[in-house]
Amino acid sequence: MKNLIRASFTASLPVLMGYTAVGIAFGLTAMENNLTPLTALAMSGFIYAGSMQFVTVDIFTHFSGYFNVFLLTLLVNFRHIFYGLPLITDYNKAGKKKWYMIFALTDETYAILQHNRKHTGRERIMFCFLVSLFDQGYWIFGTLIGVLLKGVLPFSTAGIDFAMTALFIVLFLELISDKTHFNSGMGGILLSWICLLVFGTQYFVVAALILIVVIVSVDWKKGRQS
Amino acid sequence: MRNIIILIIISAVTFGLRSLPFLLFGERPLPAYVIRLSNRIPVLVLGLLVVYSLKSTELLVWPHGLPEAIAITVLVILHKLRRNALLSITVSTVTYAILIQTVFR
Repeated sequence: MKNLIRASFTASLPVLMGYTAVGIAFGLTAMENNLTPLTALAMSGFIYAGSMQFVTVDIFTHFSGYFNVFLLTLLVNFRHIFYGLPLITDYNKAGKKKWYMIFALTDETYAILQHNRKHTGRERIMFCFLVSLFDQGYWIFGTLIGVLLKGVLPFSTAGIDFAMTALFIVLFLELISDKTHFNSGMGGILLSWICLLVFGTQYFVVAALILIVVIVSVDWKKGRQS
Repeated sequence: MRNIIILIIISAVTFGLRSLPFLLFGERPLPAYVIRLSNRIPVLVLGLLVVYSLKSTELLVWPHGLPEAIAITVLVILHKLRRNALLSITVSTVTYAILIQTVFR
């Protein structure tokens, strides 16, 4: 168990940096928009989705109807539909912890769990659970610091959120170092970038995901025919 | 009160999206097509996440994404040399923060 805690903590270290930094940024943003500290913390506790929480601050200040809130959430978080797929077999054995682990499946937690696959059986489940728990802990911790530090931060944290980009790139490099994934990976970047140029920041994620599913499906059908 | 309803809607939709694959397939064995999807999708989605996290970088106005380009170059080279995830992330992040707070302010 001790080893497992250490392994989960080590695996989650990049997220510690990233979530603390972005969490602070979120806490500060929430306070600047006159939310109460409790609301900011409740958001990190119950929504627990980085970019959506920044959007939520904007929704609080520029409310335009509940249906729009619903649509906007679908749009921003649509990509999360795919995170459970590679983890279904593991999570179905997780008992009561399962629903918390599903709730806590953020971009970063997904990426870490997908990448670190050396544990098996019960250890794998515990590892996934601990990483999920640590990650949300960092996120709430960052939020709390941001809420408390409004206006008294001794140094600028501008740019620290690059840790998220760096985390994704490192995991990406690890994946494409396997030659069979190289072309797919580069294709994914190219496709997403073209979608960003064509559809703009608000819609490109949904467009890219639909294209990805279509391409993989067509490829699969071709593979079955030959 | 309105804020509480907003919070509930957003939390519920986010959780709904995350739990959809589990609700769809439950304990049943996954169809071959879904297994294929779950093997192929992670690397594509990670490519998407890289682009997603860089989406607010403006290439057409100064500094034309230069801080990002430099930090990413440092990251890729360092990672090729040492293959230490934490080191690569820390050094490139500090590089980026220093760049945008000093040189590219």
